[in-house]
Amino acid sequence: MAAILVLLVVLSAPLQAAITTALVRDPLAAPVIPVVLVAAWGAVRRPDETWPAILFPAVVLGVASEERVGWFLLALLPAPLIATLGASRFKRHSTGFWRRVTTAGLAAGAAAACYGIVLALAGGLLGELPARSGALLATAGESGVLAVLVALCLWPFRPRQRGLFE
Amino acid sequence: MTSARSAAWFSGIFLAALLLLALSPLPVAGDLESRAGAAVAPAVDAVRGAISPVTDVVLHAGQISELSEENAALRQELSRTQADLASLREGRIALEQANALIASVGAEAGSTITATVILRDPAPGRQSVVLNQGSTAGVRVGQPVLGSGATLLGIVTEVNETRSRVRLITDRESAIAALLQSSRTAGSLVGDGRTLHLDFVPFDVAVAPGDVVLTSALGGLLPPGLLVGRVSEVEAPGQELHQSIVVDPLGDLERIEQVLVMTGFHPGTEIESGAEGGD
Repeated sequence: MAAILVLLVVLSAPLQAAITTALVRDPLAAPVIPVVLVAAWGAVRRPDETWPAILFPAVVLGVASEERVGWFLLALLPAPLIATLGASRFKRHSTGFWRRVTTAGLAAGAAAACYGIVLALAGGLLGELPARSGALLATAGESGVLAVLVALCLWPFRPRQRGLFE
Repeated sequence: MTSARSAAWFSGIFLAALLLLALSPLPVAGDLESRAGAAVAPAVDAVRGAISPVTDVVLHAGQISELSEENAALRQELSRTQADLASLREGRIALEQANALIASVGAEAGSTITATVILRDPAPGRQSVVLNQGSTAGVRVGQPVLGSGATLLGIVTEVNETRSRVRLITDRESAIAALLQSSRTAGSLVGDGRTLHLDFVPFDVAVAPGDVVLTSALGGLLPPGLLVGRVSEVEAPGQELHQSIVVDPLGDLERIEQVLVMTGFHPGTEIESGAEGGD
């Protein structure tokens, strides 16, 4: 299953590059699709499956940008970290639907904000962040909502405790 | 066990990122990224084309009242423009004569090729685009890139055979020689990520909002007289010797799709003569 996540997140990287410049006027305000997928997967399935998923999208985004691959790797790194921390509150099979879905949204929002902050630091925009906090809130909010939707789609694929006769 | 594995992953990726950043100044790293970028750009362009109907709807959904106000303003502008048209027709005759003179001086002075923007930089702190033309079409590093109305959009910073990257004039690392058309005062036009600042204009030079800013040939890195922007704000200097001038770019840098690359211009040299020809 982890390979499916890796594939999904890699495919989301060109989509991320496209929407960053086509959907919003301020790139800082764009939802971060790879982060959304990682956060939702970590909340609904297993967070330790999310770590390898950020490697390839960082490369794709890095080569599409003047910013270096290493910065994108650092920008995406909080996503599996926050997903892991968020999921550490769960009991493996028993934690309920709403708690996992809410965690997906919150983790995606926080990780998307971290993504924006790291890339702003890389681009020398750190001093402008207070003035552009609205864009950061937008990226966190959009990513959070998308992560909730993705978590709902992933719900049938959650790991389940096997029954006595399964 | 899981937390130990997560800690190992975190440390490994963090160190890999630092290593990549440490190695990034090496020329081979830039070359590798440039080649890989050429492979990624068509994929991003295809995705962008596929989602454009959706993005157009999303972008314009909340702007209906704004658009109707803009429409009314444009109608007023149109009626004023029609009045100006009559006098401009007279001027056109004089301009045609001038153009004929310029053409006889250097037919290749304006040698350009058309290129399509296939990728915009996804990083928030960068203002650059990738074009679908490269060195085989005559594109070279340092050549100016123009938008509609022959306004300067940026300068080519990387080229391979089929692609080129253009740093837009609003990028934080962009700095070009420019001058104020009204006073012919030169300055340095630098980007801040969103707009432009004209630096090193002495405090005693008269500058007003609306003044046009053109490229200057100082340094030989750009051809003179390309339209760049219009002064939007001027702050009176306090203790400074130079004025603080904000310039709005004339080109629509957020929505560029087709551009012209001045392939007849070679930075640091004069514009090609007609005898040498363009490629």
